[in-house]
Amino acid sequence: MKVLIVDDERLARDRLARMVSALDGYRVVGEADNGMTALAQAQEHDADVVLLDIRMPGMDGLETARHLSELAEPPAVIFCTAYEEHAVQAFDLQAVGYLLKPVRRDSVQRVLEQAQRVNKAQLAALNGLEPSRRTHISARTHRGIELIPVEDVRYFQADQKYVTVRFGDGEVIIDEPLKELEREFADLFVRIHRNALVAAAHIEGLERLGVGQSCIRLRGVEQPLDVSRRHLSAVRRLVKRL
Amino acid sequence: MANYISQQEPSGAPAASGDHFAVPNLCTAPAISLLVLFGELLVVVLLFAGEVSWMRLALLSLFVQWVALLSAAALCLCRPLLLRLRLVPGALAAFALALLVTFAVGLIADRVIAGTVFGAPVEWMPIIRQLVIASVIAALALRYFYVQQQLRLQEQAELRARIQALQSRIRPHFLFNSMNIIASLIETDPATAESVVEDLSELFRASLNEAGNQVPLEDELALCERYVRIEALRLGERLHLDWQVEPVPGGVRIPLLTLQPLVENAIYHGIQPLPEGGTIGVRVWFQDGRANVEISNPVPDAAVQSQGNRMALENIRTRLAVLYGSRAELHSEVRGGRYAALLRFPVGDAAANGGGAGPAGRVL
Repeated sequence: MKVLIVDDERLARDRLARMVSALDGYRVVGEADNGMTALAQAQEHDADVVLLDIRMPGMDGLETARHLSELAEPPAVIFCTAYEEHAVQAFDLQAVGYLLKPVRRDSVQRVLEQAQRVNKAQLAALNGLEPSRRTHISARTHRGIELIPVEDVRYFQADQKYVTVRFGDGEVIIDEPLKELEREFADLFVRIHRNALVAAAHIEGLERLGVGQSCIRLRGVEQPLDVSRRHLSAVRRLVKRL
Repeated sequence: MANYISQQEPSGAPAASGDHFAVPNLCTAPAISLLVLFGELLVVVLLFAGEVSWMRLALLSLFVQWVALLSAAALCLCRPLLLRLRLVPGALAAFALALLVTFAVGLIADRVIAGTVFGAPVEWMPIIRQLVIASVIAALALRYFYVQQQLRLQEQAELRARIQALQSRIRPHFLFNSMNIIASLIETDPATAESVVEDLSELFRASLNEAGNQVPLEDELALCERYVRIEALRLGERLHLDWQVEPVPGGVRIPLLTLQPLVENAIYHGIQPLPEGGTIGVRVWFQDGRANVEISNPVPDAAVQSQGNRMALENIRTRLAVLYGSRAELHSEVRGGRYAALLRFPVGDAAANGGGAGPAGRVL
């Protein structure tokens, strides 16, 4: 079994690596000190199990797990935590593997043997502990999983089944309902149309096209987007505040 | 009534210190009006215990209100003296005062009814009846005040316990992460593991100490250094420390665990969330008879002042106020992308000016 160890603290990684290496049938294929590297390494080494610290700066463990679950062959995930008052209960409830720090030698083996993939429903339940929004949007592309920083996203536009994510350097397609994106990023994005959310931070201006017709211009996006009549007053209020 | 009274009492009065007599403060308008009301209730009881008539109602009211108001006035006047007595003598004195007033009013009433001062013999029976009733009522009232005081003391004790719990709170995360570090180092670097155990022990010893103990400023700074040393092992390259501490003049003291929580906050809110880490600044300097301590950290973008941080600051502020009054201050500000907490307190005569009473003013 190929094991990837992810923790922002080197000493914690060292210890886990030593413990895992000492076990028969397990091999440490990589170590990462943040979520982004973890995702790249998991793909590169085709890891079977990821030992994932929950508290990490930038992208935390829960978000990393969410992106990992998007992989074509998602690895099993075991969370590591020093102390999370309610998390332990939730882990048990969701039947998600976890290790408590300081990690015990015997529990490493037991948890590794039982390691399983985590699915979105489990992660959503775990995320309920600390309502947090992702720092990145992940999309499956031909290059593997691509991570787009949320602050880089210009707009989300829904199209029948998929949602197009337009960001600084291009576009990707994701499979998430606009409604959930709107809820998650309520403080960053504003609904301008039944099918579109735009980043408030990238709004350049609101333009009036004719009677009852307006569109919005976003920085770095050539094509203006239609603003529907229903959302016009809310958008106008927001633009005035900017 | 007692509710009013207990709120009017200055909390720092010696009456609050356990085995002292709780002299009810009857010198306030709400207390007096409640007293009048209770007096009339007693009148109603007495009225219906015998023949019911307007005449008796008037006479009983006149008598009871005189006794009640004069007792209140007497207690009010003697309060400073009574407050100095212990529980039993104090209660007895208040009891005697009330009976004395009853006796005097009864005697005067008897003379008024007799219409002469020396012309007729005193009717002792009514006066004795009045004294018996008065002693029962006074005893009940004193018992009531006593229970009330006990309740208040208990509340204060609970509050103190809560403050102490607040102070000695070491983040569980810190504890378990430190244990993890030790577990990791034992195999590879036993010497460092050993020093982490030592540092951690010192921090715990401090956090188990009684709230409000004062220590030399150097000791508190050493505690901060220990804390930073442990966190540096955990955060590695991400944590940098800019330590600029002027030599501390002798005798400068500070309540234990005043600075360490500020350093802890700086790391927790300023360094931990930053993938690239940053620098914690600790500056200590002395100016115009005051010590200045500034602890600063980078502000992660979109960082909001967390509840925990505010609570820690509020907690430290309260403890400083007990010791130094308005001469100590704790400010926080964001300037040039850094968050800074600035603490100023007078150097030297802190203990002498402390609250004196209570655990907060005690010197180690």
